Amino acid sequence: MNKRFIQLRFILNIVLITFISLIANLPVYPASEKESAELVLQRERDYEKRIIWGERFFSLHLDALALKQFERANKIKPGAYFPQYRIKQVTLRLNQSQNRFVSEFIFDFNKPGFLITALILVIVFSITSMVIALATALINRNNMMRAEKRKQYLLEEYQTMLVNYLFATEINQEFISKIKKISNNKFNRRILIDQMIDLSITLTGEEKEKLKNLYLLLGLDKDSYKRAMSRKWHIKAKGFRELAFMNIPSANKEIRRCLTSRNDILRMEAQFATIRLYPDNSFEFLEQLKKRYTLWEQLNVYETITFHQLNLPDFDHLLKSTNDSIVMFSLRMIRIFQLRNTFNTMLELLSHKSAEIRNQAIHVMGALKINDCLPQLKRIYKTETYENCLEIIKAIASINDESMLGFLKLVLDKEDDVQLQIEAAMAINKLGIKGSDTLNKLLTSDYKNYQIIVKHVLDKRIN
Amino acid sequence: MKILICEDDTMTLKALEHKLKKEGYEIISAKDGKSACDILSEQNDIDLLLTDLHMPVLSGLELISFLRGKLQSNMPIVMLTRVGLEETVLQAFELGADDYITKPFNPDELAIRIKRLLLKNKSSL
Amino acid sequence: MDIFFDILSYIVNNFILGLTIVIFSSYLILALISAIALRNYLRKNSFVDYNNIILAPVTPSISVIAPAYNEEKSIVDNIRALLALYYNNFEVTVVNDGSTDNTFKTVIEAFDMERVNYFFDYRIPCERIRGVYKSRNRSFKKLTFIDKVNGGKADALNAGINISKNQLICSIDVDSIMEPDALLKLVKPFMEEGDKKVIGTGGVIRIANSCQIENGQIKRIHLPEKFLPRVQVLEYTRAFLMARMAWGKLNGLLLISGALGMFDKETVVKCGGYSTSTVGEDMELVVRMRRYMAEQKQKYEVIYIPDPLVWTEVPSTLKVLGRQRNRWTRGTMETLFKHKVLFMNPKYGIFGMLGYTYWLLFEWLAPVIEFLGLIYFTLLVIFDEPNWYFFLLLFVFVYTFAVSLSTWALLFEELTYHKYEKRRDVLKLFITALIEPIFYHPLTVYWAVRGNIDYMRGVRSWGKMDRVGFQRSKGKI
Repeated sequence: MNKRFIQLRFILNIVLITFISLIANLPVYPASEKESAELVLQRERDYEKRIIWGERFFSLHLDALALKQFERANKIKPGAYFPQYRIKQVTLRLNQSQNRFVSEFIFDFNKPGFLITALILVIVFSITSMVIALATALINRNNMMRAEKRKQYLLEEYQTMLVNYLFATEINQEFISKIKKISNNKFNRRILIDQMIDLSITLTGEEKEKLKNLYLLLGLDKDSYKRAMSRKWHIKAKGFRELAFMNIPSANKEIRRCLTSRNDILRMEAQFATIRLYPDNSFEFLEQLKKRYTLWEQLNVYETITFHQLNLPDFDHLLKSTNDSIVMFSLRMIRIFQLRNTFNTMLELLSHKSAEIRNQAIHVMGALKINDCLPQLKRIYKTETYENCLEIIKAIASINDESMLGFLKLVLDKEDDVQLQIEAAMAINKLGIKGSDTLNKLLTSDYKNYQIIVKHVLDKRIN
Repeated sequence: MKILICEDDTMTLKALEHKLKKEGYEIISAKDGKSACDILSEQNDIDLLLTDLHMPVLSGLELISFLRGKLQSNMPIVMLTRVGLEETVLQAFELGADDYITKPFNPDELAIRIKRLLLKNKSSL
Repeated sequence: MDIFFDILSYIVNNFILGLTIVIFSSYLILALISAIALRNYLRKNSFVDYNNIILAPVTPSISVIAPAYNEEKSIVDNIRALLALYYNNFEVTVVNDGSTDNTFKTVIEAFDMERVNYFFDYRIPCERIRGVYKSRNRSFKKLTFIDKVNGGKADALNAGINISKNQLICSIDVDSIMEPDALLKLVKPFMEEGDKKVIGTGGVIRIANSCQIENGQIKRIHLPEKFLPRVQVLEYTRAFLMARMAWGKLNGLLLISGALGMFDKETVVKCGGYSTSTVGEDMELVVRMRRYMAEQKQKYEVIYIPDPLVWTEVPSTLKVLGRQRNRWTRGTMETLFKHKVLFMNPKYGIFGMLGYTYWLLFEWLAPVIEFLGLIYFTLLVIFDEPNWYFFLLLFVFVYTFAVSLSTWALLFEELTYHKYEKRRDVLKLFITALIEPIFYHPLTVYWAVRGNIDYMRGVRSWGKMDRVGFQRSKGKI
């Protein structure tokens, strides 16, 4: 409790100071007769000072300050003509300047007419917006809860119905009319569509076809089409997604148009939809793409390809693309799908101008264990960047060819970088008996830091 | 015959339940690995576990290692997994899973695989 | 004397009023930008299936680096929670920063660890690393434990970076609680990298006081019961959803909180890692990285994610909170003065022109000016008759504006993540917002001023000798 008081002492102090100052402002007792002569003189001096300063401010057009001086002068000699004259003048000038010098007039405390109105307006605005925000928050809470309840109910209904329908032996007319009855508004139909897509993700074969038929039967494709044609991008993209999942080509024109959209999500959804809906030349858009094809897009396309088991584009051709990110994408896919037949084109990429692409090409050749690239890798090692040298060693380790032992030992000897040394030692270690013999020999050597490196490499717990 | 299905997506779970019920199995379902663990340790008359590999709270792999390790049970385990997860599937086989099926799946194929596994298990007892 | 005072009052009045207008209108503008950015983010996010990242064969590798100092009680639970994060390509590096309690022994025993012959370079200078430990148990393969000589939080992070072999590093406070999908959300912007290089990402910090925590994970979310943490809920919501979001959108973000942030490792290493000579190492790093990228003439981005990613316990007593704010102020000042060159420098783009200026004006100067204003007001009361009516009006204006801003922040939270379940919680927060400007705000001003005084007196950092440990040294919001 005490400590808290110390913390609050500051505020108490402020309160105290305010209090004292109020007392200090109380009227002082009138001066005695003796002093009054001096007081008159003092007054006279004060008055003159005010006038002088007032004139200075006046000439500088600092009207607010000038006004204050003249007002004080007026206080000292209430009957004097000059201050009153100036006050009138300044006031007039202040009023006139309202339109011309907005800044002066806003910031003027002695003429705060507009300022006060503005403040009051802002206060009123703040209070109303506060009330609106609070009310919206509370109402939104209510709506959310209600929507959630409704959704839960619909989910339960739809899921049971869909599953029943899927595994029933014949289509029941009663069922169709029932599901149509529930799906009489947009909100409900959207939930139904979401559920159907969810289900179609997990199913193949006959059941999937059945699901699509139901989708068409209920006219849900019209909903999806409408959404695909919407002007709002987030609705449009959802529409594309639905049509792609159900494999309905009704909005293909619109989808094609959006392949060059500037909105990332819309463009991506259009891409997926194209891949899905045009099985023949679906990857054409990659050739026209000018923007960088992000890793995220690549990953999602990969996902779409594997999921729907679609045909792969001609990666050999795409490797020659002028868009570096497309080349990266192709390389990644070549590695994942193990497309060894693109070897020759990849070899050309080792002299590509982008270090990142060379790096990826080296990595892919390592991952695909292409022995034929070894001489090439050895040759470019000297001229490559640090990162790429590292990748070369890693690739050699992955290809795992005994003929490279000499080269790796050379790297270990000549390089001073820890990471390169470790990778080289690791590559040697992978070379079977011959490799581990070499390492064991190095373990006894005192040259450089071989012992620590080899120990690191042989420690199975690390890697 | 009692089957425990462990799957976090309600729609898939419903479809699985329905399909397998139609095939004449008794079904218990769990929405995550943790509750499946609880069910497995409480009830010992379950004949087969059908589990998704990616779930919140406790993953399918952990569930399998729990079943094989802690409970010392040798009931057949069928995994459900998405395409492109070969590594995880291998790991699961290492832990003692018996069979797997990739989503999207054909319900009939799933039913046949389960039937076969159960038959095999019965004959080996 | 009187005339001098007149001129002074004229200038000060205009200055204070001008500043008030500038500050309040920039709050409004920021809130507006945030609202638009938030809506767009949420819409975009509704198309994202984060599972795709887990399943993908091409994902960036991440090292999660958690420095620990005297954390023996909670460290095992916390490490377990970290290991259970959703991601397919990450490792957890826990750095024991010369703890004086049993932290080291507890971890070694709980995870069955042993020393390995790990070979590495001190690419960033840091205190001596005594040993690197790995578990004998294969299921803790992802865990690396580093034991090092005490050197402070920044130093411990640098040690972790030296050991890391991954592309990205994720720095966290070991005792804060991560959302299971935090890594996925933080890594996504790196994967979306377009023409601009992504150098760092950060997310929202939420307050864990009064929440039910089990095994290092949030079980149930509750509104803090005590007044101080609750008022900080408002503060954090405003800072993250209204200001930070906008700065992220403008690419002018100066701070990724030390409680959770992800960075491109190579850039961090090239910049020289975390600075050990400041108490605000998190902010300093981001500023230095940005400066570096701008000076290299590379296009870059620092991205901010409005999703709540990490939960942390905030101070619930005035003493601890005061110390925290004092330190934040000093950290801010250290960073701002160290990088003076950024001020209004068009070479650094929006970051230098607006971002830096904003921090200078709002985070550092605003409390100081407010304090000076208060002094001025008292002087005015003593020596001159203030315009009481006007000042009352000004006060009402400031008060209603502050409350309405908080209410809007509440609404933002309601429309986006609505983490608090009960409707009563909204009302409780609103009442807190009504009280805040009167009781809490003066305190923050006081602490900030104290921080300024301490800074002037040369209390630069904890130094190495008198360091109290960083278990309470939560990153600045």
